[in-house]
Amino acid sequence: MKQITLLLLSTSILTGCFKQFSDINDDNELFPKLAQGNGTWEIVEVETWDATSVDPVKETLQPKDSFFHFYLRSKIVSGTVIDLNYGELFINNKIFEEATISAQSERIIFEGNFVGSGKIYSIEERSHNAMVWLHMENNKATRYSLKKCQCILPETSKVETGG
Amino acid sequence: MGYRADYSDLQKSYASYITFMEPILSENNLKFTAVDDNFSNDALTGAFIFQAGVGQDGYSIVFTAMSTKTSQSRDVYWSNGFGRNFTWKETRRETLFDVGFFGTKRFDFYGTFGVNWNWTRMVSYYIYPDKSRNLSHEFAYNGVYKKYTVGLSFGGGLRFRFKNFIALECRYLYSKIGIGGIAKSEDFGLSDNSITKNPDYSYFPEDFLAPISITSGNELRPYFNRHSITLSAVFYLNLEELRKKRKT
Repeated sequence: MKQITLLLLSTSILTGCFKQFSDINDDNELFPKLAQGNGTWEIVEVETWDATSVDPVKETLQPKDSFFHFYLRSKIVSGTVIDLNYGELFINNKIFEEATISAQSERIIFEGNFVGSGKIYSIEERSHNAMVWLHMENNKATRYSLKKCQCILPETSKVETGG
Repeated sequence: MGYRADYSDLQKSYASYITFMEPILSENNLKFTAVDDNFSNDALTGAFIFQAGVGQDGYSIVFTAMSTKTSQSRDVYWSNGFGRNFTWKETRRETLFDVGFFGTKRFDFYGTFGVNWNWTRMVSYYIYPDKSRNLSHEFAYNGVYKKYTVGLSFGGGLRFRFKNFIALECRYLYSKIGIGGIAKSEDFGLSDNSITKNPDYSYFPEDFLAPISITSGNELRPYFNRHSITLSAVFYLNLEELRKKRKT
């Protein structure tokens, strides 16, 4: 009896080990990793080149105060609070782009407002605290080398006057 | 683990893409410069296995969880340096019950049955002359197409407890996709439902020469049954042996 109890217990534990079942085929399996910590990824380097060239000349930049920020944003829709996977791109500490996110192992999508729209970054490399993304637009390739950071978010504008 | 899967539908899809592209390239005074061989049915891969069970009075019952990950990648290139890459990815998990005879000597035999859970993915990239690959929505067939399937598995195995606490195990398993209820022809296929995709191209075609749409039924359904043989080393506790040691 003791052994059967042990077996049933082990079965339950092992079944619990498969809890990631629900995540694997999700459209956002990578989002929890992106949003880990304070959800910021510093842009360490940006390379741009013409992808139609076999041996392209690449321009390289090391931007300052530029990073991606990923977090859950709550929104009230028809009286119900829903959480949206949200992403922002800050260039020189100023918000440059923001959208809901779809994040999979192979690509990150900054979703647009209508079908067929949005900005896609293909993931070229991925490790625990670094990633390389590639964005292609009109044959122009832009590669972003990212590093997990604790980047400080710019302060929100002071709209309360106190007057 | 060595396995043989029935990828005939996947192979048909890849072959049809080549046939589909030939006249298009020809119209643009282009041709294929490199085409990888079709997807392979056979492969060797590692498997992660966890077991818990008991063996007593000549019988054994063991719960087994097994996980394998495999992927295959195929490239085609055109004479202008552009091309396409198809990367096929599978994560298969088996949850099995092994029921059998717990040998008084060193051999155990068992039959096994259970459920397989499969996450399949076709990632279709456009390749540029500089060899960079991307998934941008400018190209209709770019995408991350996914499908989750469930099926029943059965087979048998032999365990050789050649030493105390260590056994070698050989297991044959036939993993059939589908558990009844929904026929393959009625099921949905690999799809990419991202907002960036044109809905007409949200399914990965089984035949690139035939029309693809939500209602055409021409979508690749990854019902890829698999025969596999797994060789593994099992660490186990021999309680009788432990009791004997405690007494002495």
